[in-house]
Order: sequence, then C-alpha cells, then structure tokens
Amino acid sequence: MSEADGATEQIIEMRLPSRLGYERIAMDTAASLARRMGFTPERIDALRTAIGEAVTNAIEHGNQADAAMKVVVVLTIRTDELIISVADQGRKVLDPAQTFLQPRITDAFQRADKGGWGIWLIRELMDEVEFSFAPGSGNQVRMVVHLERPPVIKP
Amino acid sequence: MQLIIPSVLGYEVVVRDAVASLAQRYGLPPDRIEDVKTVLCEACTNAIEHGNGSDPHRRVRVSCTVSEQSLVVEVYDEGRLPPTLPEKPVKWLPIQFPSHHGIGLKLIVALSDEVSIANDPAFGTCIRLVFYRDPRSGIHTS
Repeated sequence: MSEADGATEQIIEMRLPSRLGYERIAMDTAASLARRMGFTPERIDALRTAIGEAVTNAIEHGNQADAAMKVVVVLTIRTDELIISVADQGRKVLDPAQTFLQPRITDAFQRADKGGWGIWLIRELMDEVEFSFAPGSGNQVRMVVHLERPPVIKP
Repeated sequence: MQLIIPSVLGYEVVVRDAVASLAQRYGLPPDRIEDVKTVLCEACTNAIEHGNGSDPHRRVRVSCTVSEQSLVVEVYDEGRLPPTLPEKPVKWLPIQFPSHHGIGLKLIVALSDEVSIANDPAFGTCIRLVFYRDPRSGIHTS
C-alpha cells in the first residue's frame, strides 16, 4: 500500500499458467473487481475484452504457449482508477513497431489469418496504454481505466 | 493459478469469483460451484480476519491446482495459530443467538470433499480444500 499522493491503493496479483482458457479467468476476475469498484457495465465489457486480448497475447506470443511459463496480472485498485498490468516471461519479445499498427478491415478480408487486432483493440478500449519490453524479463502492457463515479467499495 | 489479495474485507468475493470461474471451466456442476463459492468466501474471510487480523499489509495467497480427479484450493494466511477443524460428518447444534462462532469452519468442512490444515512458521497457516470432479464420489454410502 502506498500513500504517495494521499490516496490509498490495494493490489491483487494473479499468476496464470500459459494455457489458453486462463484468459477467461483473468477476464472474470477483473470484471468481478471492476463491478465492485462501481464501473459501468459498458466499461466492464471493454475491460474484459482488453484484458482478454492482453493475456491471450502473453500466453500465445510472449510465452509461446509453454504452460510452465507464467503470465502475471497485477490489478492496482485506486479510488479513481483501475490499473491492469499483464506481463509474460518474454520467450518471444514483442516488436515495438507492432504496438502502433493500425490494422485495416479491408486487408483483413484478404488474409486467412484474421488476427492482429488485439493491441489495436486494447488501445481503443482503455484510457491509458503503455507497452514495455525487456529481453529476459518479458513483455508488459499497463492499462488504465478511469472511474467516472465514486467507488461503491473503497479500496 | 495463484491469487494474492490484501487482508481487506471485500476482496474475498474477488477470489470467490476467480475460483468459481476456474471451477466452471474445469467442469464442476453448477451446484458444486455454489459450494466452492461459499467455501472460498468462508476460508478467505477467516484468513483475512483471524489469520491476518485484518492488517491490509498482510497478504492472503490462494493457490489452485486442477487434476483429472479434483480441484484443490489452498488458502494461505500469515497467521500463527491454525484452528481445529470439526470432523465429518459435521454435527450441527443449535446456536445461541447471536453467537455464530465456528459456523464458518463447519460450512467449509461440510461443503468440501476433503479439508486439511497446516501451519508453517515460514508461510503461516494453510487450509487445503479439495473438490472432487465426479460429484458421485462425494457421496459416501458406507
């Protein structure tokens, strides 16, 4: 708990095996928390999608679906915002250029692989998004959603 | 899967929902998921209030493992004194209102297929909860 700016914060940490399906559990957990913080259903849906994409990327790309490798999701609860950080162990380091791609729907029609929308979606849905990469320590995405209303439960 | 929460009441429901989500994808039937949720709430509330004395700097750690046979959930707190578990089958006695002392542990034992408890000076107290995948194996005919 830090009180740097006079506000308290609480932290929940999740460690998930890199197996597809666990992204759903991260989504449900974040949604459960966000609901209790007082986020609107629309924001909770956006949060579910963003965290689902981030964890799926971490499992499939960052950790190359090696179940022994961990995906660490840290949820930082503040009175006015929720910060979600998703980190993998970086078996494959994300190309920074990939985090600024603007996929086009017309191109996607031509491709057999309809993927490639995850990072774009995350940027569209979250209030603040920041990617960081470090060989050896993994890829990390930090997403922030602001709470428009006073929280129902205080952290 | 592991979850770490602060010892603040309210966070036990986030653990409850996370483990319920895992139990659902693991294939437990809906009525058993209700049991898992009740047991998780009771175990986490105990860990927060009794084990960690509601000190927000202390952590409650929940570890879940799935196998072919069962879902195993371990709830760790930083406390020193493990409670004594009631035995199966749980004896329900009339409780003098307003004392609800011990009802949480009785619920935990009654609704889980196996419960054990351990204390380690380094890691604190751990309660281990087992839920069988096959609901029939939970009924003892002997």
